Amino acid sequence: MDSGRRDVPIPPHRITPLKENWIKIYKPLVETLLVQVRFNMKSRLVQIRTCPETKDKDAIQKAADFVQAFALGFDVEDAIALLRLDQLFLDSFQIEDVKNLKGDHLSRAIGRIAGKNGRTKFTIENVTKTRIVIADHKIHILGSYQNIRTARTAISNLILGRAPARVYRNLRSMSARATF
Amino acid sequence: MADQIKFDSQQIFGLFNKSVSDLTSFLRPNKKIENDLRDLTLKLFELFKLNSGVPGIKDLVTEGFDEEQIWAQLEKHNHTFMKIIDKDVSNLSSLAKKLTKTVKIDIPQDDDFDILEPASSGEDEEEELKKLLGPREKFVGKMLSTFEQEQLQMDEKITKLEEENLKSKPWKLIGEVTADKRPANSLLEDHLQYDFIARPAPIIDEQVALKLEDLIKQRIKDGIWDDVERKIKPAEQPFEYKRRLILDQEKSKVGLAEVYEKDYLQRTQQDKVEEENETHKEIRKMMSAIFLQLDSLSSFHFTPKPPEPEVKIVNNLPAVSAEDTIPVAVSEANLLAPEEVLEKPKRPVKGATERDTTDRKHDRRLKKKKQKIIAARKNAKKISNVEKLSQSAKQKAKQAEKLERTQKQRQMKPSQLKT
Repeated sequence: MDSGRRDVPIPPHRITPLKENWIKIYKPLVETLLVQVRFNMKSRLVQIRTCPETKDKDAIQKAADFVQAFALGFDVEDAIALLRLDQLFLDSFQIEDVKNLKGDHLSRAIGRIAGKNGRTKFTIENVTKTRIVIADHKIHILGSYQNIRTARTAISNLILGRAPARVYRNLRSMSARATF
Repeated sequence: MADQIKFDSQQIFGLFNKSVSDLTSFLRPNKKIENDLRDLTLKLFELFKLNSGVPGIKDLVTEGFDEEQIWAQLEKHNHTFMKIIDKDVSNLSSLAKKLTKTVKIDIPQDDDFDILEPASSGEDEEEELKKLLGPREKFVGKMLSTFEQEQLQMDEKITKLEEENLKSKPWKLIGEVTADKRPANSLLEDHLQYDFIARPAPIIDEQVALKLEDLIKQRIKDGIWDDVERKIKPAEQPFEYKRRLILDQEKSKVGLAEVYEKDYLQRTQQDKVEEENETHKEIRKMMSAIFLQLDSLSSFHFTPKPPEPEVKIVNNLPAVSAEDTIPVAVSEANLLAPEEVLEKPKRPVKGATERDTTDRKHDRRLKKKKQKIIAARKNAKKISNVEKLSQSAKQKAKQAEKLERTQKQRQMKPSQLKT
């Protein structure tokens, strides 16, 4: 891979949001990270490259991670955290990795994770200080290492069929431990 | 003489009734009635003195005295009278004793007879004497041979025993007894012997206290501070549970970066506050010291105003939270399902008769697991204790060596001096 160039593919369902949020995306990349960025309409790629003005060596990787996170479905405000904080990571896994579910069982598992109006998902996000994207059977988690772990265990438990109330309780006890 | 008394008493009672008959005259102070009653008391006293012949006070002085003073005089007179009566009574009782002694010599087998009972008053005395003398009359005069006496005693004993056997047994001897089958308060009057199920509380006497003190001292010397701390399970209101259950379920309005920023700031600011506190503390200490000295110079008499009571603003909130439609008289605690208050066990709860082999095996496995954990903990504790002990022993050994060395040096010194 060329060390001075990154291409991030944008899935079709994220193209409209990308266009809407383009100003918020390119500004931090160009102004603070000092890299060059463009969106290739034909190949549907966000292309990033370094230039003589770029000071930081990590800048290009950080920029690529930021755009990647947005492409996966995170909000710009959340994805920007990747630029501002070093110890933030992105974790992706599939429901099939936890348990081989098919058909209605899979749909129900997804429903359990999201909850009514996304409540369960938001609860897990707020308690563990992470952001979660559920894209069909793929799940992406954004947060610090320890927080990703707790969120992942909670989601895994939901996939395995635990009642949300019980998962909440575990989360609560865990968060209580974290604050002390 | 008797006629004279009768006449006098009749006269006195007549006068008394006359003066007392109209009760309305007592409503106001009446000089005439007062004088009448005074005369009556005087007459009564004289009559009494004439008849009893007791040397009390010579005359009752009523003129110019109020009723309290007259009463005091009467009391004094009565006192002497009571003394004389007491003497009479004691004389009578001694006489009775003499009589009973003579009776006892005649009938030696009667042991129910209580000689020591003192006579209480003159009238009782005579009755008692009669009572004492009555039943004995049949034995007096009859001389029995020793054999006959023994026979009599034996008969008495036999009848006594037979009666006892025929009577229903006391409640203590008939086995299990409920409260309604024994007389009231009969348990209180008895000294019972029974087995304690619980271990009795230790009696703390001087020896035990000393032992405890030694133990404490030893632990202080060894520096073992591992007392068991009492754990208290906090009592939880049922509604607290539900309140805690509801976590933030909305989409957060701030980005992830802000969340982490806030977290970080909170952590760093806490440290800052602590740092500032130390200097503040020092300053506050010095300030208070100075103010105390200043106060002692000027204003120790000063008392500050009492603090004004805080004004609390009570919002006009609805008294009942309208979560569910519930009957009015249902307490909040009843709104929770039992599973919400206490977690449901995974497996169905089964009675002793319902359990099958699987359940029994499951329980056994659980029990074994628990025992293993406890044993492991105990083992770990033992090892740590042994280490501590060995450390303390080493220290002691070192100290002992030091002592020996110093002693040797001391012993050496005189010898060196000699040489």
